[in-house]
Amino acid sequence: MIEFTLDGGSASAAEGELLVHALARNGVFVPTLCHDDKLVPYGGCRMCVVGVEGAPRPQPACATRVAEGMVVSTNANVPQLRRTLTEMLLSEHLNASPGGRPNELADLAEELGAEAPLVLPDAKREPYADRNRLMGYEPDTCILCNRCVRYTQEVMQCSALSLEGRGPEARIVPTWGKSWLDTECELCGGCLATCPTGAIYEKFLEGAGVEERALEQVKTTCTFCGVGCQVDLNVDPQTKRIVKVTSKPEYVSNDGNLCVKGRFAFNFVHHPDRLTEPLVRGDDGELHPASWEHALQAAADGLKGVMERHSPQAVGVLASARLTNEENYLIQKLARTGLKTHSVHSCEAT
Amino acid sequence: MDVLRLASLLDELPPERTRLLDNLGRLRREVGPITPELSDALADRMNLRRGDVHEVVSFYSFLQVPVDAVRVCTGPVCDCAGSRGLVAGGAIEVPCLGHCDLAPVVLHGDDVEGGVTHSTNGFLLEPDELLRPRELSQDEVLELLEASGLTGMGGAGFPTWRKWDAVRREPGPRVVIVNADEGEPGTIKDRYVMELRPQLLLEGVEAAMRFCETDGAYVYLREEYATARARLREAIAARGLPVEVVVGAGAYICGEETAMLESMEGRRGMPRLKPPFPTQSGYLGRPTLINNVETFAHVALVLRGARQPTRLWSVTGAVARPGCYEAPLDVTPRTLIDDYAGGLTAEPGALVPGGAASGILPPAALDTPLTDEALAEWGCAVGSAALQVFPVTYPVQRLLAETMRFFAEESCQKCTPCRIGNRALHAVFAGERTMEREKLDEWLEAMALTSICGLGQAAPTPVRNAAAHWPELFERMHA
Repeated sequence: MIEFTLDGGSASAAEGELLVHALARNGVFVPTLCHDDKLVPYGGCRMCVVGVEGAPRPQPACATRVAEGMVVSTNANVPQLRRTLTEMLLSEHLNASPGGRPNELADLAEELGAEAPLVLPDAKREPYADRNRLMGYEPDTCILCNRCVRYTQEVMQCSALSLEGRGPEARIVPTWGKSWLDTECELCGGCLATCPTGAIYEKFLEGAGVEERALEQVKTTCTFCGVGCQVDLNVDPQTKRIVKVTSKPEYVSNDGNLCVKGRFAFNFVHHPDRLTEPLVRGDDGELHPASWEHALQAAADGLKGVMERHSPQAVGVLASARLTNEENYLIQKLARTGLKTHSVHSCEAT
Repeated sequence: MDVLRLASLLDELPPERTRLLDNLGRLRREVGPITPELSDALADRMNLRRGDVHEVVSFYSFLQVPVDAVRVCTGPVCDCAGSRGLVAGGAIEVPCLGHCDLAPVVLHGDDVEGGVTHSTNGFLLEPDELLRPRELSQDEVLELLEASGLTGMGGAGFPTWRKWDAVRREPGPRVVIVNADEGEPGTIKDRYVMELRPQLLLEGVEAAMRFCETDGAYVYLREEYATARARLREAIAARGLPVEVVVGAGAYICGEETAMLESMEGRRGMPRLKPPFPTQSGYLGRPTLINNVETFAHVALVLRGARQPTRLWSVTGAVARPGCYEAPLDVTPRTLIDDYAGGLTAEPGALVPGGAASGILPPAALDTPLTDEALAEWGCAVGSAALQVFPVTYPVQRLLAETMRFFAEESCQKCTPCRIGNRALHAVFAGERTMEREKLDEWLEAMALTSICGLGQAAPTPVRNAAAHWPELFERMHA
C-alpha cells in the first residue's frame, strides 16, 4: 500500500492502481463514461478528470496510476469541468432512451443538474436499421465513448464495429455500415452490455415499456453448455417472466461476457411447448402427466425390456451438449455399468 | 477499379501493420479510390481485422477520393481570397492545403494550379550542398544545441537540447522522426525547407541519427506536398541515408506527435495519453526523437556553427509578396510585411501571428515583437510563426467561424471537449446558434483544460483573443 493526499487528507491505495479505483477505495466516487475495467484505459470522455499536483492540466482518473505522495484534488475546478463536459455530451444527445436501457449520461446530468445550453446543428446522425432481431442501435444516443468498438477489438477480437470517419461526421457503425449479420459479429451482445447510454439495446425490448431498474435479478448458471457461465436472469416482478439476461464482470467463469445463446436465447423458459413435468405414454397412445417415480420406472422398464429382448448392445445413450462435464461423466458411467453398453455419445462431438 | 492491377499488387504489398497507410496510398494511386471491397481485400492480405482497416480508411480525407481529384483549399487565407467561388464540378473542399502563399489554392491531383513558386530570402536561397554533419560527441552536440537556445519550430517551442537529452537517456534502439505534417493554416515554412534545402534538413537528420545511434529514421510527410515529396526523395537517394518517407492521407491531427505515431503504426491518428512521452515510448514503444522539419534545418546550421538567431516566417494574406522569410526572432508584423513581404495590399483588419490556434490580433499589434513574451500581453503565442494578414473587409466573425470549422472538421473525435466544443463554437460564430457569454467561457475553459492534445487545448485562444479585442462582436452575438 502507498500513501497519497486526497482533497487535503491522507489516503492509501495499492501501488499502481488506477486513480479512479484508488479514489473509490477512499470513498470518493468519480464518474466515468468511457471506462470499462475490461478495456485498455482510453481517457476519451474526460468526465473523470481530477487535479494532480505538478501536472499542467487535470488528469483522467481512469488512465492515471496512483503514485506515492501524489496530491490529488477533486474539488477546486473539477466539479465545474465535469458539469461542462456533461453539457457538451448532452448537446448532441438527441434520443436519451431508445430501448429503455439505463443511461449513465442521463443519470449524471440529473445528479449534476446539467442541461444542454444548445443543440449542435449537426447532432442528428443517419439512423441505422439492422435486419437482425436481437440488437438495435440508435446513433443519436451514442456519445462516441468507443467502448463497444474497443470491446469487439480487445475482448472479442472480432471485426464487428468501427469508429468511422473524423470530425462531425464521425460515428460508430458496424464495419462498413453493413448489417451485423454480414460482419464477423456473433451477436454476443458484449457491445450492448458495455454501452453506457443504451445506444445499443435489446431490440425486443423496444417499446415494451420495461422499467429496467425495477427488474429483479436472479443469479444462475447458464444451461446452454458446459462452460458454466454465471448469468443474472432479469425478472419482471409483476409477470414473473424473464425480460433479459445480463452478467457481471465479477462472475469468475465468464468475466461477465456471454454468447448469443446465453444472453438472448432465454425465451424457451416461458415457451408453452416446454416440458415442465414428466409425461408417460399410456395404453391409449397419449401422453399423460406422471410422478417422477412413475416416469423413471416406466423408462427403466422399457430399457430393460429392450436389453432382455435384444442384448444390452441394442441400447445407446446420446448425451446433450447442454450437460456439464460432471453430468457427462455420470451418463457414461450409467451407460457402461448400469446399461452395460459402450454405445454412448454426446451431440457436442458431431 | 483496375482489378488485374489489384490482384498483382496485393501480393507485393508488405503485410506489416506499420505499412498499412503506405499500402492504402499505393492502392489508391495504382488501383483506385479505396472502396469497402478494396479495404477488405487489403485487410485479408495483411491479416488485419476488416473493421480496423475500415477505421483507418475513413479517418483520412483522401483515401476514398480519386488521385486526380480537384481539391480546393478553404483554409482562412484561401477563404479570404475567395476560394469558395472556385468550388465547381466534382471539386472537393479541403480545410487547408498548405500553399497559403499561393492563395486561393486549387490542386489538380498532385499539381498546384499555376505551379509552385517561392518568394523567400536568407538561408533558403543558399545552394543546397550535400554536407556531412561534423563528427561530434553526444555531449558536444548537446552543448551546442543548448548554447544556441534553439527551440522546436513546430509550434510548441520546447527546447531542442532537452528533447535530445531525454532520448539519449533512454536505452536503444531509438528512432528519429521528422515531423513534416505541416498543417497549421497559414504555415508553409517546412514545405519551403523541403523544396529548397532538402539536404540541409537531411544533414540535421543525419546528425540526429548519429546522436541517437540509430539506422531507423522516418519523415512523416503530408500528402498535399507533392513537390516536397519528390525533392526529398531525390535528396535522400543522393545522400544514401536510410530514411523512409511515410506519406499521410489528409489529417491535420497527425501533426500532433502521438497521433503521428498512431498513424505510422497503422491505426487511426488519435493522440495518445501522455505520459509516457515519445522520448520515453514512441514509435513501436521505442524512445523516439521527433522534431519539426525547420528544427532539423536549424540543428544542421547550429552544428555547422552558422546559425543566426532567426527563424522562418510564413507571411500570407493581404501582402504584396506572400512567402516564407528568414527574419529575426523578435521581428514585428510591420517589419515582416514592409521589409520582407513587399507591404500591405489592403488595410489590415486582423492579424494571426502563428497559425490558426495561436490567436487573433487587432492591427494595433503591428509593432509588437513576435515573441511569446511580448505576445503574452495580447493573450497570443508565436506558435508556428505563420503571420496571416486579413484585410478589414474580411469580417473577424467569419475568420473565427472558419477557424472553428477547421478545428471541428479536423478533430479526431477522441475527447469530448475538442469533439463537441469546436463544433459548438463554429455554430455560434457561423450564426447558427447562440450561447450565453458566461456559458461560452465555461466551455472554453473546459476545452483548454481537459482536451487530450494541443488541438483542443489551443482552440479557445483565438476566441478569447477576439473577445478581448473585439468585445462588440460578442455583445452583438449574444445579446
